[in-house]
Amino acid sequence: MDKKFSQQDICNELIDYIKSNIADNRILISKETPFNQIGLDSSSIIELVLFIERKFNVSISEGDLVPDNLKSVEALARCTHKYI
Amino acid sequence: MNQTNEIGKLFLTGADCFILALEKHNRLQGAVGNTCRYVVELEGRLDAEAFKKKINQDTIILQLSALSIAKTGLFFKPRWQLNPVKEIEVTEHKGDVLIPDTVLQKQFTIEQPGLFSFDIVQRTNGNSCLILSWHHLLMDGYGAVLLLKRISNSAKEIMLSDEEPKVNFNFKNIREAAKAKFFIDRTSKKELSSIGSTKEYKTVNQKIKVIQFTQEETKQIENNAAVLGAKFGLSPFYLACSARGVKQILQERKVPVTNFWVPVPQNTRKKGALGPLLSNHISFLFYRIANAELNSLKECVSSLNNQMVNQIRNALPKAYGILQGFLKRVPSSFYYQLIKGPQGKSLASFLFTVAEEHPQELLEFEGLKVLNALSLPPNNFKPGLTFAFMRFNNCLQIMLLYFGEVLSEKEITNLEKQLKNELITGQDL
Repeated sequence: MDKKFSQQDICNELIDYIKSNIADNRILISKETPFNQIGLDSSSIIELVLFIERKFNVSISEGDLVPDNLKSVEALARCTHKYI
Repeated sequence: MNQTNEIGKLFLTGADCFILALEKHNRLQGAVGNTCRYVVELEGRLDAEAFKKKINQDTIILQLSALSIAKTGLFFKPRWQLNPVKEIEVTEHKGDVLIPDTVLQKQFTIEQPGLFSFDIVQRTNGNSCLILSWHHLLMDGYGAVLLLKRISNSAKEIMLSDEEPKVNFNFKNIREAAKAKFFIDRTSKKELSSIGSTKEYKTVNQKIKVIQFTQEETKQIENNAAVLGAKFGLSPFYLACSARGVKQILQERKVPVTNFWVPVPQNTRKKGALGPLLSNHISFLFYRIANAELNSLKECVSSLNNQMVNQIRNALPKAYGILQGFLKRVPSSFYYQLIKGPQGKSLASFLFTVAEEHPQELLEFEGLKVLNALSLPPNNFKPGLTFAFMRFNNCLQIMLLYFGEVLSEKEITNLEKQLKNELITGQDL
């Protein structure tokens, strides 16, 4: 049986991924931290979306790939949760 | 790594070796193509003597200035060499020109130490401008900002250098390198158009034009980018406007336009990393822009967006990094033959880069408020035109680096108008 992920689970996975692959260890990241404050650029955000799609086996529709959904961990997690 | 003792034995990174090959290209063209600059406008007077004293008390900065390329045998990996440390000079100028001509035409010789310099321009209104110039081989733009952070003490633990992870010669890496090579070959195949001139010149005349936008205009540009389909960030929108500007110039010259091929550098360090400062840590995304896509801003943005997603999905920047790693032992002359593409002497149609926003930690420098900052990448000839986008204090700036032999002043003026119009309105001109 597939595990049902909560929005917080998704946030945690995203933060772990960012810390391991994208941002330096010194950078403090919370689910509310705006991505542009961490210095995440276009390619970093694409990496995050691709990670989400692989990790949670979802495909985020074009209509949901809008700035409001891609501005922070919390926003991306909220958008992703709809697909789970 | 013990930074102070081992720096003189460090090998160049894969990206450094690519720049070393480009060095041959620039020398053949007689150009100043591999020099980068970071310009910091300051409120108030920066004391040149005090600044000189400060940087000459920093052993890391002194060692950086003592580096040059070591002489190595054919097929040996290029490495750095630490020479005897000498005092770093700081040259003072007076005037209101953005960059004095003597600074603009400055060249560095990679076989000799002193691969960066500081110039201070004292403005007539009592303000100052600090110009850090450096050879691209020494560091990339991110590294230069780290150097400034170190000088300003805004970041205590800058990592000067680090050995690049070795690229093992195994099946997986060979497959990745081949993937990158095939991708580059496929996307850069004929026919390609370029802004570069077909003429030969003994020397060329470097110029810069800065286009500045207000905060309101910058916000509008962000909104337009999203509406036009730049879902993940602004760079596809910037690149689309730049490409359409180049197409317009070529059309006005009655030069047939086919396709464009544009490599875009990507910093491979983690975001917010405090190093390494030394060397280049970059990979690339490569865009092929079809002529038909250039007719519509929306189509162009959409195509670039999709190309970016596909390359990242297929881990192409990482694959290109592996290819660069394999090519470290290739002599520069032969490496150059590999990278000069279908145009003969110019691989890219034009050059394009988006620099990181000037950091918050450097909004004050040596006790003076920073009024503006510009990151000026190298402008290789050929092709001879580089678009550099950067934000300062939430305001977008575009630096057009060009040569007088490649673009006329009228063409630059028209290009500026078109860029401003399309970015701010989001409409095809």
